[in-house]
Amino acid sequence: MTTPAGVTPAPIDWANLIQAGRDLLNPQQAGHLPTHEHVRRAASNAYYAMFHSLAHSNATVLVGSPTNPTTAAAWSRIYRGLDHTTARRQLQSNRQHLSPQAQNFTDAFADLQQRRHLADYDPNAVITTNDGALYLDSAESAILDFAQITPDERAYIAMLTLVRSR
Amino acid sequence: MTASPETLQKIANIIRSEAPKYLSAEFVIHDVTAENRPGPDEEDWVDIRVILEDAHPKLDMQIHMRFRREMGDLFEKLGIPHNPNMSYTDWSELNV
Repeated sequence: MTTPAGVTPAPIDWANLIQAGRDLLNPQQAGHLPTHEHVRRAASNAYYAMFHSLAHSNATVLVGSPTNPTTAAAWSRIYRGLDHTTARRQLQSNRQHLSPQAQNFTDAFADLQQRRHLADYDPNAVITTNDGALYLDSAESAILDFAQITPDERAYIAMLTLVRSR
Repeated sequence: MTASPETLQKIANIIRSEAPKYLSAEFVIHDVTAENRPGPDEEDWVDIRVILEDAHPKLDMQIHMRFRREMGDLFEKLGIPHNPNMSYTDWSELNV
């Protein structure tokens, strides 16, 4: 358990990650034109906004809002149990069973995970300021679409992304 | 999976021919490129760049997502084992 006793766990807020990414690209906010590093961090934020929105959805649909130490521990464990590769692969291989909104989320999750990898590790990658802004817009739209899907489908997605099939 | 040069060209051609069905006439396509990139878990992926002439309106994300979703279905139908992972760039951004 990583949540200290008496502290109610809370998600890393996807909307704040998107806003932080936009701030990085905004010369008035940053005080200067965005550097390549600003753009790379914005691209990374776009993916992590999606990752944390999914982790939050999984924890909430399976445990509910944490109200006591037991549910807090369960919520945190589900939240922290999401693995990047498993999530991408399972979403993609089950894409055809999902609603159009969940397919949009799946597509953006896979695309932005690959683009985050490029932004974080490839020194030769060309990522423009427009690219960074588009990744953030894409993540935001996909997360808002994901918020429209039914609790049953969210539970199905939680199961897909957290439980290994046999 | 690494795409062959023929597959990369085929992907670029498909996106170039399909994009005008989704984007309004204000989006003028200068070029479409498709390149292999190293991805997470040592899996290569195809980076598709739609290069636009400058001075176009802001891209509607709902349209982009529908384009992306339907190209995913089309690639699957055509047996192309790659995702249509697209970005859009202004031509001038690549030539500064």
